[in-house]
Amino acid sequence: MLRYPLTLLTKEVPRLNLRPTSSWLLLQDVHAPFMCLPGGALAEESAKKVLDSEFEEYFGTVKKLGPNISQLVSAARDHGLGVIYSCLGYEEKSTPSRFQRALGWNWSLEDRAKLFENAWQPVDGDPVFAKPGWGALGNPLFEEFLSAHKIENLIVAGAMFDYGIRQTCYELSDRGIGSLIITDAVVATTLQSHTITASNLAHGMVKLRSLAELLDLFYVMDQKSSVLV
Amino acid sequence: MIHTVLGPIADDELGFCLPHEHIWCDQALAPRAQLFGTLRNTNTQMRLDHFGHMLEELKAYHDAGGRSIVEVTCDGWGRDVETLARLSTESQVHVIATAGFYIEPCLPPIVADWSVEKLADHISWEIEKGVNGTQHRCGVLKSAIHRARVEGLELKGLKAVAIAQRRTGVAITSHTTGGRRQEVPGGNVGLQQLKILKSEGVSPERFIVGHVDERPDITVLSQLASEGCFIQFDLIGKEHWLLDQTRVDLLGELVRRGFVRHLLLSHDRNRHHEMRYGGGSGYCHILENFLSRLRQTGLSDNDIQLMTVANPARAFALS
Repeated sequence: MLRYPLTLLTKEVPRLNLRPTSSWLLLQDVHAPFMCLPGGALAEESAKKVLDSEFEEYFGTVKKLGPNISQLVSAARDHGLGVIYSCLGYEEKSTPSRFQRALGWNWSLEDRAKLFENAWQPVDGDPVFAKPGWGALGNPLFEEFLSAHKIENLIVAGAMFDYGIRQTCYELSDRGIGSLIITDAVVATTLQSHTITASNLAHGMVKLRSLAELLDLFYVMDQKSSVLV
Repeated sequence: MIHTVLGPIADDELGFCLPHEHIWCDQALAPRAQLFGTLRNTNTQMRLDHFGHMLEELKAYHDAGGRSIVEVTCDGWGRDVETLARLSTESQVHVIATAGFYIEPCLPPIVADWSVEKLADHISWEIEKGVNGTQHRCGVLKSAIHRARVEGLELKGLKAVAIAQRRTGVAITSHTTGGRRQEVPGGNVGLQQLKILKSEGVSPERFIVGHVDERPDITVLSQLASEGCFIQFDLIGKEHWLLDQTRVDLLGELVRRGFVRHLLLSHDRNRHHEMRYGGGSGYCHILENFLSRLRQTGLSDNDIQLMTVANPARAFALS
């Protein structure tokens, strides 16, 4: 039985104000190692070790939610929101982080064209940040970017919800930046882990909405230039 | 007098009552199910739809001492008053059906299309005349709030419910926030609903705040009871929200604070796996397990009689 006693004590999540200037979409770990099937590192590694069944829910969810991520990116662009990418890996002129060396996940992020599915490829000007560990704020350039653009909240989607996205949302929350997680555009390692992560995150400064609910919010934002969540 | 699906009964005929349950429902019928999200597990969504099984559940409840159930499924996700009437007849359990509105994903298109006044006329008719051309009348109104604030179509529904309450005199029972509870001050949107209902001329004594045991705050619960509302612990047995022991502790404290006449108890059964045929305890958990724990914490038989018999009779009697 899953229980979340801490959330019974915490104050309610404050409202987020979504507007194109100060709200951006963060796509985390939507690059090939996690999202490419087959051919991604997770798919290849699990097959090599005969662990495919352990990742069955993960891969199934990737297939199911891929179209949602695609629709989310299109909607964000259509409604004037910027899109930021944060991906576990290292830039060519850099070296793998200690975390990456420990896991053996020392992926180069150089070949952008092969890194992302066409449906959510970065377009010109979209920042793509290397992520040295699970959290996006492990890269100081990412934090500088948030500050320079006066970003107040991020709509968050992507893979490894229960590891990387959770870490990023806690770190954003620590810095006073709100997160709006799109629950059917984030993929966790198992569905149960998805539930646990979502339920524990839903306090502090993190909110949860489905994609359909977000599209309704975008509709209101268009009419009023901002919308409170 | 209380309206059941089989006609009116006297207040003292209601007996042991579960004030917030489902007997016949299917969330797959929700007109805007996409709002729930793509990952919603359809194997565990709210659905009770097997006549034979549900009849056995009601008979077991009757055998355990239960006499009545308020069936809170609204139009939009499978309310079927004729089936409820058959189940009531065959099980000897009084069933009270519900008019009004469930959460936004389950709202029928009329809520967007019609005016507040026309909606109020419609649900008043279901209480005063019958549902869908039948003679089966509803005996309670429902307002459900899915969001963290009362707004949009859910606000429209609440206003229609307020008008219908003033016309018909039946109580209003509520669904308060569910998945949005982390975003609501005090964990329960009942105070927001109450404020609107009062502004619409509804007496707090006619308002039942549901789901207070999802994310309870003793200060907010005391405030609601002080205002005159019923506060309904209606998720008893669902320990993923809150341990039953915590419910026992909170109810004990509320009784000590003098609010026993404002307390109601129920399970909100709505899924196969919660029923006896699915491996759960069905409608019998409170009778067979929970009441003994209340007694162990020091509550008297009179306290329990108030919470399970007298308070429901007062709540669901026409004012």
